[in-house]
Formats: sequence, C-alpha cells, structure tokens
Amino acid sequence: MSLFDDIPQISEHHVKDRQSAHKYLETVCAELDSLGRQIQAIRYVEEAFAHQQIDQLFDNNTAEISPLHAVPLAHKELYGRTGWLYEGGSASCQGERASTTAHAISCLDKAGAIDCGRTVSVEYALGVTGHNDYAGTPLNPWHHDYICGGSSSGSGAVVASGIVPVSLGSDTGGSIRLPAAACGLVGIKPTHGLVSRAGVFPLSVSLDTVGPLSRSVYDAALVLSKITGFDSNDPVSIATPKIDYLAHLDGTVDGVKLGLETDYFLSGTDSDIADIISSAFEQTESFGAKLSEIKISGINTINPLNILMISSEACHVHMDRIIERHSEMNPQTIMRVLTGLYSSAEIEARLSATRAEMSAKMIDQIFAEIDVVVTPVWPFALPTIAQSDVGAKPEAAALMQNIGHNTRPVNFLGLPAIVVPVGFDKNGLPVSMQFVGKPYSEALLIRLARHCEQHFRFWDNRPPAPASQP
Amino acid sequence: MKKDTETISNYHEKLVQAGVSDALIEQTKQTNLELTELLLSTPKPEQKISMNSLYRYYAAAVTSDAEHAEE
Repeated sequence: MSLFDDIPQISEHHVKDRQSAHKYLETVCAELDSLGRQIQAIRYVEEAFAHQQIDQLFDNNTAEISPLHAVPLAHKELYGRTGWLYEGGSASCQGERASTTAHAISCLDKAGAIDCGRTVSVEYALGVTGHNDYAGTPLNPWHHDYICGGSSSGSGAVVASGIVPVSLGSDTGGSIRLPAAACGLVGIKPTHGLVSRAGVFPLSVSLDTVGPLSRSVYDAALVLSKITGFDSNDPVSIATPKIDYLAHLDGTVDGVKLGLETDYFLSGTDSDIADIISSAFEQTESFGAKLSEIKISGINTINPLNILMISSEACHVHMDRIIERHSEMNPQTIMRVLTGLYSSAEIEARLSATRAEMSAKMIDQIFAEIDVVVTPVWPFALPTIAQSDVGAKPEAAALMQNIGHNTRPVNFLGLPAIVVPVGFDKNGLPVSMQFVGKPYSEALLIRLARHCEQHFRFWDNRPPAPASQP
Repeated sequence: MKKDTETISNYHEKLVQAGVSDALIEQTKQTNLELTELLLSTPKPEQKISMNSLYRYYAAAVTSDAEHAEE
C-alpha cells in the first residue's frame, strides 16, 4: 500500500473496480489497525461494514462517478453512525451507540466515500492538547513525543501518518485547526450554519462547527463541497446556494487584501513562531495579494468569553451525565463543564447579546479595509505530551489554556477559517498560518490556501516512519 | 435545563451529594465568577441583534456557482 496518496491518486490507482477497491480497503484497514493503533489514534475499525459499502457502490452502478467513489476515510468518534459506538471520547459514555447517522456522514455516503471507522477525540471534545486517559492520547506522526493538539487529535494523526487522505473533525474553539496545524494539515472551520452538526456529539450549540482535516487543499475543498447544505435537523443550519469549492481552487488571488493582525494575534504568540508567520505572510505577496499590518481593537476579551459560552452551553448537554458518572470522567473535563453551571439564564442571554453585537461591529470593522485576516495558529512551539499533561502537571494549566488564543476568537465571531502549514518550528514540528474571512468566504480562503500549498510545498516532507522514531 | 437560581442550586446540591470534590466545585465557581465579571465589564449590548440574524444577513449575499458563471 502506498501511504500518503491523496484522493485523486487513490481514485486513479487503487479503487477503479470492485476487486481493487476491496483490496485497497483491506490494506487501509490493516494500517488503521496497526499504525493507527500504534500512534493511539484509532477507536475502532469497521472493516466488514466498509466492504459492504463498496459492494453497494458497485452494485448501484451509476453513470456519474463521484471523485470520492470508493475512497476509504475514517472520522472523529463524535460522528454518529446508527449502531456504531458513540462514546464522545469518554468512559462516562462507555458502550453507548449512536441512534442516528450524522448528516455530514450521510453526505459522504451519498458521494461514495467508504467509512472505515472512528478516530480518537478528547473527552467531550473539551480539550486542546489531545490528552485522553480513556480513549488514548494520539502521538504526533512527526515526532511521537509531541501532542497532536485537540480535540480532533486522532483525525490529525491518521491523516498526517498517511493512512487516509481526509478525516472529519469538529471545532468549537479550535479543535479542527489546532490538530491540523500540529500535524501539518489543511483544516477548515466553516462558517457557522454552513455544515450541519446533526448527529455529531454536541458540546456548544452556538459554537460547534464541523469540517475536514486533510493533507491537500484539493481534498479539503472536495469534502467540504460534499457536506455543505441546509439540514432541518440542525437548528442553526442556513440555506445558501450550493458552492463547488473545487471550481474555485485555482482561481487568482490577485489584489486580495491580506491583513496580518499584530496587536492581539501576533503579539500573543512566541517570537520564534511569530517570525515564521511574518515571513510566510510576506511571501504571500508573490501570489499577487496586497499586504498590510492591522490591529483589531477589543478582541482581547473574546477568548475568555468564548470559554464561558462553551462551558455554559456544555452544561445544558452534559450536566446530568456529570452527576451520574463523574467518577468515570477526567477532572479537567468536569471543571470545564461545571464552570458554566453557575451562569444564570440572564447571564447567558447577556453573553449571547454581547457576542452578537461584538460580532456585528467587529466584522464590519475588520473587513472594511481588508479581505482576510492572517494569524498564527499555535501561540508557541508545540509542547510534548509530558509537558502538556495538565493532569500530571497542574502548573501547566495556565499555559495550556492559552493554546486557543488564536483560534477561539474565530468561533466567537462565527467566522470561517482555514489553516495551512508553512514551515517547521525549532523542534521540527509543523507551523501553520490561519486565514480568517467574512462569513461564507470559504472559496476565497481555499484559493489562498492552495497558493500557499503550491508555494511552500510542505508535503514534500514526510513524517519519519514509526520504526525510526526516537 | 433552566438556569434559574433554584435549578442551579439543585444541581449544586446534586454534585455535592454525588461526591464531586468541594475543591473542584469551588474552583469552577471562582472561574465562573471571574469570567462573569469580565462579561459584565464589557459594554451592555444596545441593539437587539442575534447571531442567527447576522449569519442570515451574510448568507443572503452568497451567490451560487451558476450565478458566478453568468457574471
């Protein structure tokens, strides 16, 4: 099997007919079971189901073959499929099974993708380092001592190790973008309401979003195109005209105005990472973009307000389970949820109104002069698993709380963002840049990321094979 | 769940009875207090605007690929 093939290569070389599709699936499932478990990224593999999906695909011989036809994927364990384990990364949900299939998964089924199983999530998706005592803490494929970030940690690990080309994650404060950046991947956090969250283990109804992690911009654009669309089962889903993001992939970015935000994002990032981002930003001028440095006033309160909103809304979903099964949960998770218990309905209403007004003003303010905000993703060089284990090292809590410095404001403002790798830090771990746009500007963000991909050629590098890891 | 004073108090009691540690509960109450103070220090919202109406405003400007092609 050739690891690291992207979707077009898989389509062309491995899944042309029924026999080759079954054979390729066998090798993917074997890798998920071996390498995937070795890096602690896999919850379970559903190989028999996946083979059935292939047979159904080839039985229903349709005239139009989707680019995802017979391509094996695996997704974050928060994505339900009827009858499959659905534990939200938590021993407190041990043995529970999904009663419905997530909308995004159904969309990928219709597009012909093959669903091989589920990847590790941080418990309740409430954590940014990737630590999980119950489901396992995924090891970063670039160096096994380091974290993958979270909460879509297993998704980042299986894609970066080359087993599958794409994995769906979820993002409430950075949970797609942080693992994507830590693993050198493309990660898309769509505009709130663009992709239905129905059937995805919930955390915060106002902030949860779902989207892809992939090695290539093409693959992320393809999957995003397949999972967008109105869904009445998600109360915040909004009907918009369907966009084929692949059609926008290679468009020009001539004259697109990029603003590097220096007052909050860059100054809140360690200088060694900020320098890499500044250098990468300057290089985007070669794409034809027009560059400027900007300052966004009032954004420094957003990060803590986002934490308050997540915890307040998480209480509505998880409070009863905490009371019944708290002994099976990580104390960090309990604290993160309980923080919201003591917010009254009045405080929650004030928070929602504050968010809406801040968003309306700031979106107008930010995008009056520029088209896209550019920021770092991680505010410091990636820590090791040991350095960032808050359970074992309580003194690390404050530092770890800061991991979402550059990602949480994007959720709070409801904006779309894409992250793309642009280099390596002092320890040889990936460093990524974040593009943040107006609501529904995903096509533009994808074009920018595509230019970055072609310029920086990040994936000319490969994570070292597990055998050569220290 | 309703977030009135009585409900919050009931949940607090249930947590204590369930054996959740006092230290953990106190720490979360303190964090909530700090975050709430921060919220209340921000200007009180003047307008009646919701995030959904904001999203819908921007969604109305989205055009399909077909419309792009006609431009």
